[in-house]
Amino acid sequence: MSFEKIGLPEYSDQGVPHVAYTVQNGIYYKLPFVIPAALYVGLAAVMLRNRKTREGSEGAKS
Amino acid sequence: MSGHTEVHSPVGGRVMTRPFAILLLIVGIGALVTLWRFFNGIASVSNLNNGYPWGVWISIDVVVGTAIGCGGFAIGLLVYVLNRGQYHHLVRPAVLTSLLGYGLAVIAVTIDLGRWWGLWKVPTHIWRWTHSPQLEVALCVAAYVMVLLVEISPAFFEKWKDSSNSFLRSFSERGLTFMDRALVWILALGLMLPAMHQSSLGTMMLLPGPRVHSLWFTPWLPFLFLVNCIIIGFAVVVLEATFSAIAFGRKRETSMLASLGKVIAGVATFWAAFRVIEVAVTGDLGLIASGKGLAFLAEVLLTAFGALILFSGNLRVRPSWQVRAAMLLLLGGIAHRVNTYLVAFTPGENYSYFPSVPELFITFGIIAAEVAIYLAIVKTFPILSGKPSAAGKEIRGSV
Repeated sequence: MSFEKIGLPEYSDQGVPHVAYTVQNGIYYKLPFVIPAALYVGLAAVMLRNRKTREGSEGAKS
Repeated sequence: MSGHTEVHSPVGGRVMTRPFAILLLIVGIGALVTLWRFFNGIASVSNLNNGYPWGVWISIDVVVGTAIGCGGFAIGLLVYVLNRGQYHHLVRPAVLTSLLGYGLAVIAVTIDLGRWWGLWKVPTHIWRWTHSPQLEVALCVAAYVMVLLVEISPAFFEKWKDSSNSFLRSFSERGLTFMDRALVWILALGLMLPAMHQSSLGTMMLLPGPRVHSLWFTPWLPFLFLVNCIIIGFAVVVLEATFSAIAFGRKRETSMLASLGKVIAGVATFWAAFRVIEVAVTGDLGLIASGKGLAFLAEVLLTAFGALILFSGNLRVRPSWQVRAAMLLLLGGIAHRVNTYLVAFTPGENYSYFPSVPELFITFGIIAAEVAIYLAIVKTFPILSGKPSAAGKEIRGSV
């Protein structure tokens, strides 16, 4: 008897958590924390640049 | 940071008003039911079962609650990364809303955990769950609550620096100096952490696999959740700015919100279009004709209509239409999250779930606590911008 006939979900040959595992592994495991660290440094660099630009323009006004 | 004292001011007035007392009553009922749950087990208050281990506490209090708390993330991106300094007034109230949304989500998770007394093991036994998106969400949310506390701390320091207590005064002065130096690095954390855990909230619903309806099951779910939280965050900022201006008789930020509306409209249109195109590309568009297709249409159409209003130059500048658009976007965003976690999830024919009354009491208690704490803080500390009008002084006494 097929699993679907007794009310169980239809499964493929791939493991159920395969997609989630691939996504999560790609971000945190294969390249350990490289993506979050790069995001953090990138955000901080953009904000530092914006702050310097703003302080420069405020200094020029005064 | 010194500029904040000129821009933000406490609303003032009595904290204990009639609406506040009603909120406390709802919080009290929720707290009593929560105590009952801790002493007698989760089954004594909820309809959760082996098929539906996550119910209204997770889908509403955590998944929707943290998205509502993304106002700080959305406005922070706009002000500090895209350098739109004109929205700076909106940052502090948005960060407070975020702190309350996330703080209470942490409490909701604790209530929802079957063996809550083992929660302390999450940060100390990390290796047990390194493949789980839930570990990422748990650590990130806890860290983000800390970051939000630091981000909002200048509002407390500004109040305490004029205190008669010398310890509070010196602590506040040192705190303000520290914040001035470290702000960029703290803000970067405050933007990175929500990006990580909001996407992981989407990843979590990839775990049930075929139990999630095909209209929602997509590897793009983490990305959809991330963009969705930005839309909800923006909508909450608009609603919060409008209603706090009405409630406390402050000047409305209509033109600023109109300009913000253009940004929201772009993001919301992108999300709705991406959602439909992704479903079309995977060949599942025909499933819209199924029963759950209505839920899919609701989330897409609510978001699209909200965006459409904000694209109109005439409507965008009118406060009533700003509120309507924000409500549509908020409902559309919430619908996507609730649909993904509850509506689209089918564990099997023998399971069903509808929240029990005590479960709802806890959720209402958490929402009431959020509103009550917000009212108490904005009345006491410099969170909201602008000075109250003469009419506002009369109004604020009753809220």
